[in-house]
Amino acid sequence: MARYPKSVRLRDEGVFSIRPLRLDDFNAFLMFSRDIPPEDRLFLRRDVSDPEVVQKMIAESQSESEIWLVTLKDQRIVAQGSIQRSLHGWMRHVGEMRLVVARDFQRRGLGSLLARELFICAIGLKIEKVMAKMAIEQLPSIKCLEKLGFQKEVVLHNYIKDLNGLYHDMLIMSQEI
Amino acid sequence: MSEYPKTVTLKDGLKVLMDVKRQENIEQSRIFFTSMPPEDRLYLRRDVTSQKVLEERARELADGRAFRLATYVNDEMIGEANLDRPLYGWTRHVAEMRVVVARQHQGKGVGKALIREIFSNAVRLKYTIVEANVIEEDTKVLDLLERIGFHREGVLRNQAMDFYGKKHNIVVMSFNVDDMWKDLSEYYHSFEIYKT
Repeated sequence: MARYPKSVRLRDEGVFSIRPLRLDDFNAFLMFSRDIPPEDRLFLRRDVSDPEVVQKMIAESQSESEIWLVTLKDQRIVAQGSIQRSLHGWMRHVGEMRLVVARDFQRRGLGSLLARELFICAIGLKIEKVMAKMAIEQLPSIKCLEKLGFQKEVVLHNYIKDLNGLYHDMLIMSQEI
Repeated sequence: MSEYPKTVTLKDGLKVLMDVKRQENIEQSRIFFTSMPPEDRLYLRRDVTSQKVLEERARELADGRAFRLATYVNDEMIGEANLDRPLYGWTRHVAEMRVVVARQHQGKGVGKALIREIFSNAVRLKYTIVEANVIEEDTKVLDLLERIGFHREGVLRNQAMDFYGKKHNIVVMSFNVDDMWKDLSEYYHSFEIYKT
């Protein structure tokens, strides 16, 4: 984590800062989470609009089994990403990457940038396989991960249920390090 | 739940008591898990010998994030089946089942009885998809799940690492309950037409 905070200039977008999520990020993180549209929020595992959930997530983010990074623009969190893994058990060498980019900052390369940073962190943690789960319709996410060398591994039929109760296939992509 | 506790007779005549875990008996679980050889324990997701994890397991049961069955011989717990029940999120209709049996009682049909029972409970609890993750070499379990009606969704390469650091593929097995009801209703519909 010595490489952070890190400033990155994106063409036409200005300067962004990337650093680990901190305990004092509660308000900024809650604001970021509440700005996620409901249809995007359902693609998350927990109800991040709930302050108690956010408080718990931030506390968990400090554990050694998780890496959480945030991208900031003028003190506002505009993207967050994590690698989570179990320190015990048969999947102790596998990390799961999750990424969320604020709606008004999507399609500007922030997802790729954060994914690359998380991937570097995963190498540092000696994780041997990084995987990511997404709906098969999430083409920008799939393209972003393919550019990073991820491959499509499994399609799980009807594993995703959206807000309207409609089912979607889940794609698992992975890359072995 | 009125059918529990019940006695199940296994293939060698061994009688085991099967019951729903209404609340977690932390001390009993600790004895069960700590008596497992480390190489068996590695197939569990968490360090179940830790007090923190045992307490978290109790909370999962209390707040409905898990449903568990256990088998007992003379009040000693010899096996457990767990159903992970997500309460929120995009996979809230998917329940993952896991079964663990004490080493000295493996090969007697305890696992098979628990798999069948936890599966029927997942259907009863109205999950659309029931999932099981199985090591590719574990052909007995894969065959059993296929006989129940599970199918192979796909294979996750090198997803599991055993006690000795060797990697194994994981087969994701799933059972779509909605499809089963649909198939059954079509079957009975055809039957009615045939009868008339």
